[in-house]
Amino acid sequence: MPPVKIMSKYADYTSASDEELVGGAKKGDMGAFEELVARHRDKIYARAFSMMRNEDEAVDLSQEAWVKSWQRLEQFQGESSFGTWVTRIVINLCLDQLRRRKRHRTESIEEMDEESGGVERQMPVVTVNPTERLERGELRKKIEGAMDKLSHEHRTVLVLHEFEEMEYKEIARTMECSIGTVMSRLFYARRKMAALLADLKTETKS
Amino acid sequence: MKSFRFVAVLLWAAIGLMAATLLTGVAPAEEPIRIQVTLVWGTNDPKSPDPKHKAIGAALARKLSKSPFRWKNYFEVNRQMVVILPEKEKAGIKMSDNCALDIKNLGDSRIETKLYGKSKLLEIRKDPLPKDWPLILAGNAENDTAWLVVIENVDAAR
Amino acid sequence: MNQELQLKLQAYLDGELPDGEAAEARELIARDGEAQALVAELANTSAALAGHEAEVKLPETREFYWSKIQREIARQEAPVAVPEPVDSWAGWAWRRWLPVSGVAAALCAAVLLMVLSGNSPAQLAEAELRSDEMGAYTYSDQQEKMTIVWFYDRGNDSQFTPAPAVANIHRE
Repeated sequence: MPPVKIMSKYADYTSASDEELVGGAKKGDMGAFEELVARHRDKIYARAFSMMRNEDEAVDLSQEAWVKSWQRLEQFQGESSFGTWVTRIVINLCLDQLRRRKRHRTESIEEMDEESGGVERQMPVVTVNPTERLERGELRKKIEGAMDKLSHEHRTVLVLHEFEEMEYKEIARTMECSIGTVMSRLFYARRKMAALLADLKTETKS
Repeated sequence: MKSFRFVAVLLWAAIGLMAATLLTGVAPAEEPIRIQVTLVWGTNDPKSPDPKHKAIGAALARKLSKSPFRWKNYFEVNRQMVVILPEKEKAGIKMSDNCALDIKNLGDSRIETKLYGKSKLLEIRKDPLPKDWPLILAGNAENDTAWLVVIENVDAAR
Repeated sequence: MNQELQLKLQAYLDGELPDGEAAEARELIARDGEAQALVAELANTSAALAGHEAEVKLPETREFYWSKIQREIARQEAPVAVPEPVDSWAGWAWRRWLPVSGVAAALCAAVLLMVLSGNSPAQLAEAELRSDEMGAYTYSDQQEKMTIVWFYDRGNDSQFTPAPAVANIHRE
């Protein structure tokens, strides 16, 4: 027997705040939850896509995040915004997926080189400021292209630090690695990103 | 003997005062400054039309709740961290398509700010920027909302 | 510069160093050109990323996307008792009709209880307005520790006039 759908006597959810909608959803109001999904779906999908770099996977993982957030609603106590809370759920789902994927593939030599560090110390310092040099749309496109060139560990640490503004400690906990590893990966990712945005060659000589 | 003792006390007091001055002092003038610049949108709407906008941090929310502004909600549009060397200027800090700043480190936690709106220079100002004392530049935006640029000295703020 | 030092500079930029180490990093940046260049590069990269994340939209319609979520929820949920009816909307429904005036909501001169002391940053500020169309007021609140500069359009924002009794406002 399917769960009973509760319809609020106020059909217009669009003016309600997230807090009000969460309150309604916690009481079983699917309409309220659907409004929350509608409001935040692009953001949650975008975060999944930034990590997975694949549309279908990002759609699936974002939907899984919404299902999980419905199941765990009682755990949400407003310690962060609702959108941030669901974002954390989708990030963890993406990381689980990436870990599962990693167990089944062999790392390339380049990725191992990145992991061991040292490459970034050889890169020349980039003195040009990309925001001064490039138009907004061009910069966005370049960033997207550069993100594709990073390994998923480096892309993840960059996403978590630069876009999700997590501290090192939280990133380490999320990625299940040490703070030192977070710092090295972030350093590498930033330096490689700087070089890519400046159109510098980043391949290492073997 | 009494006068000798008096002079000795004075001398020790002077030394003590000098030491206290040196110890309590002031950060050396020749230091870089780390500044966080946040573009905030103030509105009475419960949500922002742009899903990338986030709620502002608790500390800033508290300050704005005590400000003369009575917007109900504030959303963070953009946030950047810059490190500025003494006597150097960080130019072209772009907060949005319409808002940019140049910030110069004048030393002793003083900054010079040039605020640009739609590429036009609006104001040049010099302010002390002690930690935990943000400088907030603000104005009206469309549809009864407001823009705020929050400039904070974040060094030693944690 | 060794990697440990480079990572320390990165941590300084990110606000992850304790005060003592942060002071050491500042000193290093002040005297070392290589450190300056590296910090500048890291900061520029962060600034480039900030606000320039790709605007990605979900490639499915609202209804289609939601229908799959709804089906999955229904599939996973065991039969449950009927939840209590929602009765909490009356509270917010009347509030949304409260009149909101933009300027009146933005500023309430009657509650401008600002205290200026001789050492307030606002009194030590210097300002030069460069626009003929804009005016500016500076407020400083020593209790809450903030300085606010409000820019107004001289032509359109004329109703923004704080009460004369509020003496702590400096008009530029």
